[in-house]
Amino acid sequence: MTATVNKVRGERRRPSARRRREVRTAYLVLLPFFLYIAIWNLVPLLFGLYLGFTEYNALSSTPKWIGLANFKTFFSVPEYGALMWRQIWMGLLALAMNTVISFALALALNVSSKVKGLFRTAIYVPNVSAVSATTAVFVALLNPLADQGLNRILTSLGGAAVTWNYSAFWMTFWIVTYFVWQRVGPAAIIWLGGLQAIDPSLYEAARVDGANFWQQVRYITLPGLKFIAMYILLTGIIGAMQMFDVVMFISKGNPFGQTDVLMYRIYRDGFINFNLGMAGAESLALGLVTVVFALGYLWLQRRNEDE
Amino acid sequence: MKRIRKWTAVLMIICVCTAIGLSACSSAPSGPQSGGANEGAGQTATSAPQEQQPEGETGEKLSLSIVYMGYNDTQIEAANAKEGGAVSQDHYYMTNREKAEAAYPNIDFEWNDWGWAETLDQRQRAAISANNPPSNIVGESFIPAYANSGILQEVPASVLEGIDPSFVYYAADGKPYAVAFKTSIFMLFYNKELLRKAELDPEVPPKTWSEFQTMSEAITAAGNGEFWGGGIPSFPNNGGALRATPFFRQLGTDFGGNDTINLNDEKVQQALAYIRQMDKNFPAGLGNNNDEGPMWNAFEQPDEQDLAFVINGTWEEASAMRYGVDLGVAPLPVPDEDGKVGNCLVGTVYVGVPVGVSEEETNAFWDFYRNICLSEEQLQYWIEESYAVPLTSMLENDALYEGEDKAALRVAVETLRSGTVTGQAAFLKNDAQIWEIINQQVLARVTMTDDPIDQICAQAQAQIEPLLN
Repeated sequence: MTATVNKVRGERRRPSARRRREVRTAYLVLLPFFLYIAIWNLVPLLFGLYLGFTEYNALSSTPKWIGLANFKTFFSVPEYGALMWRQIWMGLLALAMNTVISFALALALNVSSKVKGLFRTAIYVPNVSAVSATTAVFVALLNPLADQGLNRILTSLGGAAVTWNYSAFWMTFWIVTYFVWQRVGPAAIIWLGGLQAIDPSLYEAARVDGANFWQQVRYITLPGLKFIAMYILLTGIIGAMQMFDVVMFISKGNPFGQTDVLMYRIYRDGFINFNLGMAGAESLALGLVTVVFALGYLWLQRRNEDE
Repeated sequence: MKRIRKWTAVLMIICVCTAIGLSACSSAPSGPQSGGANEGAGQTATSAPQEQQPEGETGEKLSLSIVYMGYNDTQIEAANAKEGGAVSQDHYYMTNREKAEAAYPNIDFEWNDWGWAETLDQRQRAAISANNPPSNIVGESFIPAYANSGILQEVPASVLEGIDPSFVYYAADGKPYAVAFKTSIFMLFYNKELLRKAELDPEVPPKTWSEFQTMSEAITAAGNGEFWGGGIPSFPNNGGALRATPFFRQLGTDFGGNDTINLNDEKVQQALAYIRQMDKNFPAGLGNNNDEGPMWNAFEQPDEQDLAFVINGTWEEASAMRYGVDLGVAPLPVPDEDGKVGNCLVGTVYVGVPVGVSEEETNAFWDFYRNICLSEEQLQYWIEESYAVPLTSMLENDALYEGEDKAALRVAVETLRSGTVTGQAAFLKNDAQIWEIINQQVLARVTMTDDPIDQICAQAQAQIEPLLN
């Protein structure tokens, strides 16, 4: 057995000295980036995981090890389950809307026009605007008074004023609307890149065969955008599971916690309540759920490919 | 290939060790702040660097890293660039700095702008947990958490001489850990013009809960959708709990405090029922909005001014008069039966010194704070801004509160003289999370829904109790 292994090893071609030097140089070139990632990503990630097993309010020098106590709290207090569930469904709703609308926009923008650059810029601008500033405009529009904001338009059209902040439905609606408004641009541009990479001769052939617009979309466009879709959905899942700034600025989780999500709870536990141990435990739980969703999506994708 | 793998392994080990080493360095004790959180008040670090020794002992200057109590260059520039120039509060911070730098040539001052509220809390905690605290800390709502966590030094008795006890924060152990340079309390502000429109005497403000309710309902009815009486705000943030607190205290109760939550108390629920009734005199959604702005605009803005009563700190006086509101000011109404004056400090800025700061630095800071920041000349700036100040000599001096523009401050000072007003209650554990539940799940829910109050309170009580253990 040993002799066989040695024989196999012996058969491997030994890299030349020049090749080894090149590899060494390559690793040395990569070293600063590896260090950067280790310091700014790996160490905080591991420290965050460690915090989940501690009690720490950032007023003492060292976190106190408390084992699984934070996780017991997380799984025994119903509020956390509700927050996780709301993060999932609100996030996925926003993701679904964003994916569909951005795809529709990309189809609309995939035409030759002199002003297409202007439209592309216009849909991208919300993404580079400050969330705090643009949400402030949304909040101003949601003024509950009949003669202010959106209510002014509604009442001038003969409708009744809406007390937006009393309604979980409306606050969720505006959170999702803002999320899509802000993120639809980059997704549309990526879809558009994919659309333009599809060989135009395929469409010509389909038209010759009598395929209509929707048949072309179904049998040429969608299969041709498979990898683009995978990228948009995977990054979208991660983004949706981290959605919190929109909630914080628009509803603050109100009315009375009905639009609160786990990521916003993590922020509050970490940086307002300074219960950093609990925030660490919540982050780990949310991170695991995100990984499960991402892997689930990849598994589904692979199964479809096999079929 | 084997050597390449070996090289790779070595490189990775170097990287990981470097990363761990760097992260460990960032939290390593440094300089004079090497004492831990349990280091006692006034202890001197043995490894204090030379530059932090006072002149006379080593010939080197002492350094003070001051938070909030003086403007840095950028803040001075911003204050001077304001339309109409710097205001009184800007002058307070600018002259604190000028006077300190003139009076203490042996001290190097660093003037830090760390913001306010959450930003300030985050930056102070980051400095404290890195064992690199500034010479002083400031704050309002989070000072109890600091004091009860043992990270503040006890305030020396000499600093508290001549200071009204209402301005001192005493922790659960009964010791003073912070002292404020300004504060305010809540009072009732009203638009006299709207009272006239409802055929009410604008010179006779409500004195009791029932009078307040009757007058507010009369104004709402007379307004018929054009203007409203107003009530007690129940914003789903701390602005709600702060303004509601006086009404609980008037009944001799409170939300709780330390390790107790008190929502099942009948008197708490009685006050909540009153807050629910009064909310009907706001346009729907105004008194419990996430954003407080629309309510203040409704009271103050010249194109609105359609809200008759608001509850706010003394600073409202200057603000409303600036916008031309025909302003009336009165103490908060009290319950009709067994009611007593109850209020809550607001707009208070407490100052303390963290443990781990050297004795020289501590003494130098308190000297600066007491002799400059708390001097009569400097505190005069806060009286101009309608804030009460801590020196008993000023608090008792009626001449300082004469004039029409000081009506609110006069009422506040009279209340403060009773010595019974304290700040918002603080919980020993999970303070911010507990207040969030009170604000959102109790106060806002009481005014947004018709859910039974005892049920709302019981649910919140059950949610809060585990957080106190």
